[in-house]
Amino acid sequence: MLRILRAIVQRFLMPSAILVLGIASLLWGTFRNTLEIYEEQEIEISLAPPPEMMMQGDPMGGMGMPGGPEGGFPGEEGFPGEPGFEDPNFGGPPAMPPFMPGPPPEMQKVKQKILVSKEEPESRAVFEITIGGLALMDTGELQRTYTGAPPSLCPT
Amino acid sequence: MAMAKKKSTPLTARLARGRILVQTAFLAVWMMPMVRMHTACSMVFHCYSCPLATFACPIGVLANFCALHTFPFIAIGTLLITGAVLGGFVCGWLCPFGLFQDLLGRIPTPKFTLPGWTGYFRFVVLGVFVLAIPYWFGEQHPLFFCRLCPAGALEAAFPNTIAQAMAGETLVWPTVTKMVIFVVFLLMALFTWRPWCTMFCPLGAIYSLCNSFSFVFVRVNKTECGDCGICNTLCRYGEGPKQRANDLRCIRCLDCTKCRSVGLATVVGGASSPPSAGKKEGQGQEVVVASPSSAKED
Repeated sequence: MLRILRAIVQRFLMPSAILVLGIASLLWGTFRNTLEIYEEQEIEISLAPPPEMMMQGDPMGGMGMPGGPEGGFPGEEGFPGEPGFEDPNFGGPPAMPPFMPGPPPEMQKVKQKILVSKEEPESRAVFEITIGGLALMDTGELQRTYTGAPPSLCPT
Repeated sequence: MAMAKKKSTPLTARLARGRILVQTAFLAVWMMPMVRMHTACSMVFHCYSCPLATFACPIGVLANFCALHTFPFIAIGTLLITGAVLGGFVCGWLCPFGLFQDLLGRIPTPKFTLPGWTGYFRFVVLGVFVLAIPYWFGEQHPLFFCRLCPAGALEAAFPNTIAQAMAGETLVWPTVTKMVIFVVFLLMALFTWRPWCTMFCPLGAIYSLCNSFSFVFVRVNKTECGDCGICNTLCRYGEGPKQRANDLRCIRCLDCTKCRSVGLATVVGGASSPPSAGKKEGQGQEVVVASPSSAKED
């Protein structure tokens, strides 16, 4: 009797339990389990120019009168209306009105790499490791080792 | 009557004769051109970097997931299902690397039987090179399992190197360690049966643990056994079914079933059995329901 019981446990209950466990594990891994994978992405960001470049048409850097060649103050030689003044516009209006903002500054475009996390199914991770596409970061997170098209060969 | 005197061969023994055909047929499953289902694990030891590999190698997945500190539900599920149903049957009948070793074994050279304790090396390989080293040191470590695997050398490294040479690309040679291990394994395969399976295979280690309880198993009918020892003589891998049926090193090649007291059985029925007492010879096969209680198992 004991022998039959042992045989039932060994040849029926045990493999049945392991089979059920295996099916559950496979289904969980395939349909439910997801892994957080960090991916390096290259993004393009637009940066505004530094503030001192904002005032165009101000060759003196905002410290003097535009259009005044050397002299900067009334009564001095070369100031408009004083002797020695040479009007570059021959009496016409100045080419660039003083303190008028120039054309809008050109935004500087910079490429930067950032890490973006994605939730991916375990089956995708199985595929990734067949091409050596995943690595463990120092922080304990998973990171994709390539950007763009996946490599064709496993590194080992 | 001539027909009546002719001894009938057990069904499993006849199947065993065609084992190499079954292995070859399954090779077409593991190596389907243009089909790459690398999101799923296969049940056999076949490198996923092979240009024709259909599925991912379960051992490669285990090692890499250990390196990533992530539990491999898909690989474990696949191994548990296969182990519970078939056990070591996979090694003997389905594994492409086993087929390669069987073909090498056919080269007529003197063959030596390895002592039984060498089978425990497989658990060392599984524990150290597949689980521990990847977990503690990551996949970059030179002793990471895939960097040593001779199956990887045969199925992936060499074909890919040849493909690179043919395409005129820069050659990436396999590591020296990998090539040395492969050559040593190749030499061993000439002088012993399935050296990788019996000594080093980590997948074989997992399936061998399932040998003692899988649905499909080898059965020795004690009432029919004449203690002739033929089954033990026929066994090339384990200790012989008479000593230990479903031994850890048994790959269910079924060569031992040429002895009529040994048969393949399942939990619901036996595939072959010895002729029952008093039954005339030549009456064909008798298929009986296997009674686990009457089986000699370890």
